[in-house]
Amino acid sequence: MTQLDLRAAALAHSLVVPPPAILQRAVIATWHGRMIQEHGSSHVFDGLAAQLAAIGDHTDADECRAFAAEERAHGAMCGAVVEAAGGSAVATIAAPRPVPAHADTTPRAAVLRNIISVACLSETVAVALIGAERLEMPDGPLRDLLTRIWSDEVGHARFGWRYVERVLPELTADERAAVERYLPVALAALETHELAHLPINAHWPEDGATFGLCDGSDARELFYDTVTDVILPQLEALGLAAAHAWQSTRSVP
Amino acid sequence: MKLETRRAALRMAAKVALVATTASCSGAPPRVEPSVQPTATEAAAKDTPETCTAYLDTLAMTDLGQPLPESDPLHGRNNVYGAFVDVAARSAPRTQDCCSGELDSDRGQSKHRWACCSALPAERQTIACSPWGPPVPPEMPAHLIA
Repeated sequence: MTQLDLRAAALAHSLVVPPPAILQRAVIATWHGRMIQEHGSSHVFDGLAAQLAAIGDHTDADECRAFAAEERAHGAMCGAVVEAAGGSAVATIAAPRPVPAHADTTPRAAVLRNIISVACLSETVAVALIGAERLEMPDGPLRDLLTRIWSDEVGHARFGWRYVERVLPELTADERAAVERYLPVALAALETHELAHLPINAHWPEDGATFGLCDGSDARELFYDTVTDVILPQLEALGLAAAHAWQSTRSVP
Repeated sequence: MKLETRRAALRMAAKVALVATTASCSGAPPRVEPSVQPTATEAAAKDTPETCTAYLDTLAMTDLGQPLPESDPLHGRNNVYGAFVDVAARSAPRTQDCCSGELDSDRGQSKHRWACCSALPAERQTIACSPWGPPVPPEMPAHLIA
């Protein structure tokens, strides 16, 4: 376990939010959780960058390194909300886990698996969830901050979809099969992660939206809509049997 | 969430994606008697984060996604990903206080997170939606590697 201390970076934002009053604990807890998640994602993108560099794809590696820096900045921004609400942008966090090497396939198919998981799945869902939260948030400094985070997430998701579109046709049949075998695993992990972080019994007063407190049930519906209406059709359009993969996760014991 | 918000959010997600064109049940968790009886509120009041963690460690938990027996009040609930096996221990004051404190301080990183989430009533839960930031992609399970 290590100590994550983003107080200085958070305070540099000089963010001021309206007094959260009775929502203070929820605001601090929610944005503290986001601070940890966002900062942790910087390691994921650094891991992707290393894998891309290892296969000679230095342009995409550079882009992923830039994404990692953005995630670190997002962590500080979320920490700014924590501090502005009266909390402390400090956390004890687990050591980062490495991005899987997927030794059962080639390095380029392994990278593609990871990019699908990170960018096409997680970040596309983030675009929808953060986008909805932003639309319901009134104008002000917090909305400006959320807009910056959201626009970066758009870039991360778009990178993934473009990468898959470009690289998938270059794969051999075996590599493509390896990517398809991974889809049920990635989709199941996505669902587990999202549901674990979207508490179904999280309902807030109307001004919860002012502080970015989303309704868990609504967010879950939006998550499933994003999977079935956006992610699966786009993966199918690219030639991957995503709908079948999703169906197979419905019956995994 | 307003319907138009949901539709707009989906459109945004679709735009970025546009480039070219809970578990079935079997078996039941064993019933395990708690080795520590969660009784005294005084104990809860004296708990530190360390003693709370030690206390929660003594309570058997179901594995992630493990089905609960039909007799369990949480059986069939689709928002339950884990639970303390001992039903009475879930509502014990010490469990409630320790879970509340641990979820607050660990912000969802706690190993007791899911068991605590299912033990606490909604009004004692404080965290909203925080799935941002892509997690580490999953490993390919060994049994699926050809």
